[in-house]
Amino acid sequence: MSKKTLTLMSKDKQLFNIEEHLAVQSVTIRNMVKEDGASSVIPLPRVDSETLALVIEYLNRQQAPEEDEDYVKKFVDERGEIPTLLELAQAALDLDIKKLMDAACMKVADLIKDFTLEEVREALRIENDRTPEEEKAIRDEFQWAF
Amino acid sequence: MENTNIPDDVVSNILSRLSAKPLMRFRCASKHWNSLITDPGFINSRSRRMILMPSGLTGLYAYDPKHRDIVKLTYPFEHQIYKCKIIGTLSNGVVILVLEKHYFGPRTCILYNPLTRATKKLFDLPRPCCDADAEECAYGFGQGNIIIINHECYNPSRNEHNKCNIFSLKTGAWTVPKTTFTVGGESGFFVDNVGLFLNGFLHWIEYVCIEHMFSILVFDVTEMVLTRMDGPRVLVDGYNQKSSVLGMLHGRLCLSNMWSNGFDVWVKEHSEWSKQYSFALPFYQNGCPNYLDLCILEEGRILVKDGVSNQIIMCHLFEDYYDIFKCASEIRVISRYGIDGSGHDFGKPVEYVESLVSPSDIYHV
Repeated sequence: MSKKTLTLMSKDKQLFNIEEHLAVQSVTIRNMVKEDGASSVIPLPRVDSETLALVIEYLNRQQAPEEDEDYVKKFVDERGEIPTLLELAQAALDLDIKKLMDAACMKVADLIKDFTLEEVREALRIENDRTPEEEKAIRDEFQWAF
Repeated sequence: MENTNIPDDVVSNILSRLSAKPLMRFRCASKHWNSLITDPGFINSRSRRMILMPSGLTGLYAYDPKHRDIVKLTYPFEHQIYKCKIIGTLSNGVVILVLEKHYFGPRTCILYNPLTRATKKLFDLPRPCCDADAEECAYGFGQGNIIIINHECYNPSRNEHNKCNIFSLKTGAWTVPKTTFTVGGESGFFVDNVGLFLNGFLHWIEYVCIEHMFSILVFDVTEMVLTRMDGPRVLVDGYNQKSSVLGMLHGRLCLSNMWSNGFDVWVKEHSEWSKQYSFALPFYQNGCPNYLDLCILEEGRILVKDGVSNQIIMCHLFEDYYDIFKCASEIRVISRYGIDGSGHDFGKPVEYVESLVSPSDIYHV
């Protein structure tokens, strides 16, 4: 029996092939396959090619179920840069791959937990829309947290 | 710049994995982050189950068994506290504390949210009139009422016994029970002075001096009546009674009783006590074990302190295994009875689920 292959397209129009039985770990793809057989190319308009290559690498892993948790953890650990992890988490969100999403978010949480406000704003691209007065009010209330 | 906005689902997922300190700090990051963190759905889905442990002079500790994390909480007061007792847990993550500022000093009862560390004062209690260093007072919480039993000295000339007072969280009013009752007698004491609430009744282990025996004091919160009932044989016999705590197992009253390398759990069923579980702990080859059962949590989990190695042991009664949590050296887990020579006793730990509920919203009389 020949294995069926699907084609995924990143937002920069690069094409990636993946075997269908591996691709359906993504709930989003599984639903597409169910609906129309997904014969054509599946576009992923929010995922760039670098991130998609990582996702494909993850989906292609050959892991026994009992080792899987450790593998996912190691997989995100090796890609420990916050921007990469955020892209990965967003791709996992769009593709609905819960394990990967949770592991990437856990890693980001671990990296930012000791960050100052300025550091977290920079790392997670947050625009500071608080007035100095508002910021001071929260700082005073939660002094112990700073 | 590409992809400026990180989807809320990703941000919420990241935030849900943070402990209290970064979480509260990041409320300041932006208005949007603050709204994500304070969203009731977010905190509910995060639902971190924590154990709150008071420890004499050193403070209150929040222990997260799942993430194996322990954090020292600052008391909501500027000064050192001699004693802190957790007398109740509200289902919404707020606890009721009684703080004693110095030895035999005045006591204050407050509501406290261990996540936000917000407080609300409920009332002051007079200093105990008895000058004996006994477990002078018993506390309990059930059905929105705080019950305080003052274990004052018996005064033969005035034929006055112990006083029981009830404070309603809803109305802020004080009442007294319908029946008066002699608790303990002249030099009786409470073994466990924070009561266990179960099916409308509060329970304390007390030593009844006149009868030279241990029994269980019961307060019917609805009828406001005090009675007494027998404990299991092991308690009545007075063997090792100081290392006994009351708890709940399968919705029934139970009592754990420590022995040298483990403990038994007695359960009350159809007014009969029976020994239903025995749990063995690591055996010390060199030296004497110093185990103390601290509290019985839901789902058959029993927290035990190892006084020698300063470890907290979570025993899973039904699955028959235990987890050891080594405390940092600065955290001295002091026994409930001050037998470490510290003289400061250790209140019973409680379990709570972190929430952002404000104590001021609970009590605003």
